[in-house]
Amino acid sequence: MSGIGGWKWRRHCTPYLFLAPAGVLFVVFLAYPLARSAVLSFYKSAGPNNEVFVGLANYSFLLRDRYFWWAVVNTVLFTAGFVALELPLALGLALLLNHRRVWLKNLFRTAFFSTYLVGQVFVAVIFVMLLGGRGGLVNRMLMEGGIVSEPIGFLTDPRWSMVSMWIAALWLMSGYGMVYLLAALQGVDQQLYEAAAVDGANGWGRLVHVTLPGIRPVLWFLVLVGAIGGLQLFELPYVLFGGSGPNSAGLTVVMYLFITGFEVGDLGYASAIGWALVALIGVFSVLYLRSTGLMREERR
Amino acid sequence: MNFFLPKPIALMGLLAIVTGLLVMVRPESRPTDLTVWTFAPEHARMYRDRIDGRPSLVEQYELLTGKRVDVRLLSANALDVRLLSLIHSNGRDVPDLVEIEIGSIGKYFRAPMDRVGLLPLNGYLQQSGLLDQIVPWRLAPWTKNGVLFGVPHDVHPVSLVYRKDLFDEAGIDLASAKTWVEFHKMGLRFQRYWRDRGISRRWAMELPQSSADILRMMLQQRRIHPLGAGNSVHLDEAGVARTVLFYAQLVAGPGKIGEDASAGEVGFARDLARGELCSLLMPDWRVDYLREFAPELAGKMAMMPLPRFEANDAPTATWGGTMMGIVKNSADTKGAWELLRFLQFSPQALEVRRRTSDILPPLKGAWENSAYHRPDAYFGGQKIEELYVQLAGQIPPSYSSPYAVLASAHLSAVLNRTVREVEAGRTDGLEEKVRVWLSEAAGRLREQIRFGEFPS
Repeated sequence: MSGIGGWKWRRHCTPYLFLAPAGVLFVVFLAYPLARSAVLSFYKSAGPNNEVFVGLANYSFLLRDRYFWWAVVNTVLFTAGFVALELPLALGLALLLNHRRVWLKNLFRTAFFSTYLVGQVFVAVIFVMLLGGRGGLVNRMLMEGGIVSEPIGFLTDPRWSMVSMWIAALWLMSGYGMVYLLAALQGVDQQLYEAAAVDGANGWGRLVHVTLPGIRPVLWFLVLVGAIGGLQLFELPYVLFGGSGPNSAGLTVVMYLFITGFEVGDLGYASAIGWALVALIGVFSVLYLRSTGLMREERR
Repeated sequence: MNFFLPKPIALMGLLAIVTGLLVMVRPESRPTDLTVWTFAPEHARMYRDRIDGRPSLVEQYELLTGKRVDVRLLSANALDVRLLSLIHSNGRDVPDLVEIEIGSIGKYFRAPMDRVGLLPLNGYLQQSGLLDQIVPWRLAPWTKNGVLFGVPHDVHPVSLVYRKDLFDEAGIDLASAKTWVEFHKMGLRFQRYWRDRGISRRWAMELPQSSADILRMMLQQRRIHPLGAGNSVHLDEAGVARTVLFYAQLVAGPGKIGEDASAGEVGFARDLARGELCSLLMPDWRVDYLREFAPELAGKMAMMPLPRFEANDAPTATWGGTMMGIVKNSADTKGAWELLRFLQFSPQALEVRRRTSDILPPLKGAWENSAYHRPDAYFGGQKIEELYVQLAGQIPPSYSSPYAVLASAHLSAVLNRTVREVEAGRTDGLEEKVRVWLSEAAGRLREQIRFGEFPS
């Protein structure tokens, strides 16, 4: 191939060649496994060589599997509580660090964000030591301070399990939300604050009528990311409770998927659970985007 | 021609070249004839570490046979996932020998018999005469439909150890407790003694409130298996409700004598050393941890058989377990069997085990060795290995199943409900309620098993 023809060929093909490595990785590690798991969800499986087609049986059992629904309830409860607590906490931290009188802003910013960098497993290990029974630091302090006479079963009493998960998740994620909100706060037009002050708005009024509308897209984004992360929760409770927790109070949908796939060995049913989770996240995301109007904004 | 290469891309290119070169010049790993995968650091040390300057077991085997052996330590989860993937994909690059934990073996048995992925060992064991020497009930967890896929590494009898110094000071002879009811009464007396002296955080025993681990062993003593042979469900069997209720009264309400141990695998040793939990169930593998992490308790400890519920119950149970098996796709199954025999049952292996751990081998003949009948200074001169030997002969059988994790979750859920009732003082008619809950749980578990079983 020579001259103009060769040049044209190169011009057309070069972008695809640049995209090829990412494309191959996408197909091999994402598209194919996704398609394979979708097919697998219609099979009873004990490995690729041992599969029997069962049609919709996995999905129909899912509908009446109490453990699955228990996991869904736990997961939704965790997600709702986590998002409801994380946003005010992250916003509070961001407002504090955005205040001109706060010193050592960079240090605090780094400190609050650093918890996000260590990951769920490490945070869970730390919280096992903090929230453990008699040996846990929190219980030791409470007992030494005479606040409680017996250790609180943060990790062993089902009534405390969700609270423990929220505390650990908030410690992990609040800094992440804070960084986004801090950036958003710095983008709010200062003239709006000045105009509001001229109109006699107090601090609360400025927060509600200027700050929150100004950072609204970031708030919506954090709700969406927090909710999707919450619905995919696995490592944190798995390490925190060493499994599904007391009375399965820490059982999440992904943990149930893991138990079914890797402890029971039923990869077909585990795939069905995975696709049910995809549907759950998909439905939530669409409803959320429609209700917040973000979809319409995107179309415009 | 101008060639523009930004600095970051140039740096990444340089890094790729350097790391690529490093990979290329990396020395080849030693070629091996046989590979062993294990998940237990103690076992890996037993096989490949030198003791007192003597060649390790692997080195001895290599000298004897001229074959090169590689023992690889993997985390239990990694071993399971990698091995199952290799088996499922009919991979050739498999280890020859693998160690599998009792809680994991069930999922290997989900496939139809001819697709299990491990080599049947009945013939090998029969021909070598080992079948008659190994404790027979210990073969059950590693067996599917009569075919044996692994050789037990251990027996793991469970005893009860306690802080003799503290019980003696309270004037209580705990060893005289022959039943759990007597033990419960003594535990309450023990706690009262110490509370009267201002020590309110001293509990008679380690008893988890929300996990059914110890409850499961109490049931095993009574020869009740929530999940028995062939995935048969026994959660609703007579005796389970009474045992659950009794256990709940040990961990909640006015009769409470126990609490969870501190977090971590060795938290129990620190609790015992601090005198916060004063007795606990002790399989032989846990003794090593106790000696290592609570050395200050030397001379203050004592060991006894488990109290029973009724005269026919066993004075022991079993907790944990490991098998060694041969992967079906191994290129040298005969060599793998020879290595398995050497690592588990040779005089050299038994000697290394005696010197490095308290874990009893599954060979009845080996228990006669004088090492298992010596006084133990840590336990005030008590012959604890001898006690383990006596208990080992009385362990009720145990089984493995892929649904064990679900059975355990169902039992824990019922236990939790019962504990809440006992805590709230609602004990009237509770045994009947527990029976109903167990019956519902058994029904759900049966449904899960029926649905999950792979068609044969």
